[in-house]
Amino acid sequence: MAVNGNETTGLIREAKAGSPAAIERLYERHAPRLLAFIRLRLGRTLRAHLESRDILQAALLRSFERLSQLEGNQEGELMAWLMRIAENEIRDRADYYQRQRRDATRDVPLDEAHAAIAAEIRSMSSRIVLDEEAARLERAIERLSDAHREIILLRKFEELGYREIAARLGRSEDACRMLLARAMAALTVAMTEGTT
Amino acid sequence: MTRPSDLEDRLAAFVDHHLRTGETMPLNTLCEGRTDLVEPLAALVRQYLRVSAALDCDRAAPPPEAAPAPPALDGFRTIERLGGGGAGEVYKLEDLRLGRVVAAKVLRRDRALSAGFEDFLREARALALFKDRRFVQIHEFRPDVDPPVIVMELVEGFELGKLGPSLEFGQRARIVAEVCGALAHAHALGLQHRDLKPSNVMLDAQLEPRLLDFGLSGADSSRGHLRGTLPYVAPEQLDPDRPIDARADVYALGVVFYELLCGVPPFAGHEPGEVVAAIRAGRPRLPVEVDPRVPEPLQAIALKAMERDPVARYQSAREMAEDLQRFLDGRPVLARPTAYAAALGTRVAPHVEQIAEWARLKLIYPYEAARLRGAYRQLDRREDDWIVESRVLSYSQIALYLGAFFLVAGSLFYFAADRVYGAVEGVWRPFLVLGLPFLGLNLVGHFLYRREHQAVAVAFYLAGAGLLPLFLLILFHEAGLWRVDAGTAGQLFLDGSVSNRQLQLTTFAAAVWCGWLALRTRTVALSTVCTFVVLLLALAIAGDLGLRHWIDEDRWDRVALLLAPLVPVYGAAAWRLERGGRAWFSRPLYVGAAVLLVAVVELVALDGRLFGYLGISLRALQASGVSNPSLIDTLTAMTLNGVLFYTVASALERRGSEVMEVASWLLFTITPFAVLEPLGYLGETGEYARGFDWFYLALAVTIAVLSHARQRKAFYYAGLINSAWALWLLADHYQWFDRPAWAITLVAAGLAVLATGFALARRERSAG
Repeated sequence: MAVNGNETTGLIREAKAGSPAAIERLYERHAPRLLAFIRLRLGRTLRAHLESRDILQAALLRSFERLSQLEGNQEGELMAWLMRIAENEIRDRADYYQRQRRDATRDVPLDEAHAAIAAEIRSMSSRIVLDEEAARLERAIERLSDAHREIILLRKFEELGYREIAARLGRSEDACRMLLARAMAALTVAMTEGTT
Repeated sequence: MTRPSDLEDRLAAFVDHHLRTGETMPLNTLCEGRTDLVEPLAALVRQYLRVSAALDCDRAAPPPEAAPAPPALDGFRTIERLGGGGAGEVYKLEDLRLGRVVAAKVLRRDRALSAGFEDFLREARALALFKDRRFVQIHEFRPDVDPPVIVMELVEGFELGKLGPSLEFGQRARIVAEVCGALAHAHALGLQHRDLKPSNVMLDAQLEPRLLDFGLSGADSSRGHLRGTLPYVAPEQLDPDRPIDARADVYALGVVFYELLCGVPPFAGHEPGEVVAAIRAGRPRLPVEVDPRVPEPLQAIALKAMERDPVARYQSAREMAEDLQRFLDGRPVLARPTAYAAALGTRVAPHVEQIAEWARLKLIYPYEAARLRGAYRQLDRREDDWIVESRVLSYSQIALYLGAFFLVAGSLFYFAADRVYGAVEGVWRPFLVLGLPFLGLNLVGHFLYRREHQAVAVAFYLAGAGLLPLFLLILFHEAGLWRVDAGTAGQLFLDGSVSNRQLQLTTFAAAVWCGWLALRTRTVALSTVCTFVVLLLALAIAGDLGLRHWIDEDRWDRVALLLAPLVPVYGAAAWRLERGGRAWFSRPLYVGAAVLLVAVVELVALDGRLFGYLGISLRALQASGVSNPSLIDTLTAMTLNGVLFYTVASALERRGSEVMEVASWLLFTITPFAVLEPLGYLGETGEYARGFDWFYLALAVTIAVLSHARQRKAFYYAGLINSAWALWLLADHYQWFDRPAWAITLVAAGLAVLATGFALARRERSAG
């Protein structure tokens, strides 16, 4: 994070200024983690109905449309922002999936100038390959209890502060800290089990 | 062993500490009093640190490899590195004086050799020439700094290769059409790109293509060998002895388009050598095999652009752009790449082998095998070969053959005007009307043939071959060569218009000419014409041997004997040519031999001559009242001819090659008619014993029924046609036209046969 932090900050600034190259690199860098988050957020049941890459695509396209609304230009802020958009997208679709599957690539209106970037985003989101290690981690997180998985998603993926997490989960900040420690320990054990 | 939760508790304590402080707690403190836990806990802690690192740090892809030193240019500030091309690194710079952002290409230090420098100069000069927006503009060339730098327009966009897969096929076609247009512009100025590849085509925000890296371009057409980037290098660039021109760019663009269509390059390999070998072989997979969504017209355009042989490609980027525009306008494209025929050929071959296998296993009948093979051969046939046999009719073909037809028809009229009506005098006019066109057609045909315009060349040759004999005949007459007076004995044409010698020389010249052309162009069209002209030559020679006399005397047996030597000549020539791998020449010869065989033996059989030659006669068996005494001999000979045809056809089918199949099929078809027609004639004469018409009917029906044994449809149809004829003869002889009983008998017979058919079908079904 420290290594990339400065570069990310620069990229975010350029992306906001409208540089396609910066947008491309920014998204390329963050898409794998966002995809992992989406898959975990969906869970097994929803994943059977919703295509996580569709959601990734839609989330990236939406974020690109609203790039100017991104406050701050820090790595964590961007990630949290992207994941929030993805979460909204998931919620929308979870309500929707029984009626029909939507084509993520169609429902975001774009003008000509943005079409190229949108096309790149689409292409990129189908290119991402999760490496074996990331896939193992994902499976291990999936095996955790709901509470453990939730706190890891909130803290480690969405990078929310403890205050916000506490508000969301309806617990004290301390309890959340303790829960995260427990969740990480459980995840470690799960990963160990996965290897042996 | 300790409870897992005990271990987990301690791990949780470690994690909590790590999360709060970011520090690792000493394991000894954690495992106080439980030294046995140190080891398993240490393993868990290592795992935790890995997991934690993975969760925290994989939020971003690894940073790009360390960029080489940015260019040090006065008045510019380096913003970032954009990427590296084959020739140099590209940076994004800010021009501090003009306050604009530009791109700068810097030669790689390790490749900063003089050759690279020259490439740079050339690129700079070439690009400075263009005012075309589709080429990335050069702002400045700085050879003074080390390494040299080209400062150029910065294109904010994406490389074609990266963006391609997410575009509509129509968009891809439009973009490549734009690139074609740009290239055509460059080619018109004498510049070739020589290193086209997807990374050298940028798409700006409006998805307009911009061409980069005219680094290898130069006006010198000999340059460019072994340069460029695999696999976008044209085959001729791999061979220093072959000239290179703008079509190498067309090739590269074809490869770019191919990759753009189906997502993978046409030629790939682990080693450059493999790629080079694949390019030389030039057998790419069809894009639709890779991605079934690829529209066929676009596939055809890509494959035509990347034909191995430059003459088969689009001859210019402009032509390719026009074909792409046809697709975009919804019109049919013109491209018909040879890759289709090649791909089809390799697929057809195993099928043909399978057909033989099926026939061997008796899954299909021999005639079905022959028909299937014929159908496959049709597929395999070249499309520009012969308009009647071609799989695809094109306007160009139709126009060419129609033109040749009119030309020959016109020359025939001219011939008639000269020789019959004497409306033309002198040598010069015929020379202008027929001789000059002949020479011109052959010159152009020759030129076109060398330029690989096969179809056009063959049409021109054919038209020329039609003109030649007519021109020679007129020429001979007007020049007074080998002329004979009207009424001279022993001439084919008694009016003196054409002498035997003139005919012989003319047909001989035409036969040699057509034969040579056929061997040269390897086309069935010309070999068929040659076969026909040889027959005319034989007739002309027979003229000296009294052909006219025998015709006037109605001695058709003599005529046939004069022509008889041609059958073995055709057969032997066909055999030799087939052995020499010239099946396209031997097939018409085999057919010619078969047709001549039928004509000769049937003519010899007329008037009982055949039996006369053999010294036998069946007249004793004939009823006394028949007016034509040799009738029985004639008809028996003809019937025996049918047997001969059948024997020859069977022998050809069993022993003969595939090329002889058509001749064999022809004889098989003629056989039943040859056998039945004489009997029909016998029944028709009426002078004959009444029983013959019944016999005729019985034989016709028998042949129809026996067609089952031989599985020959021709027999079945011949049996049906002849039995219908026999029924009519019967009604005619007995005057039964006004007898309903006759009709009722036939209806009853029909019902009875139908019932038999039903019973047989039931038995077959229950047996099956």
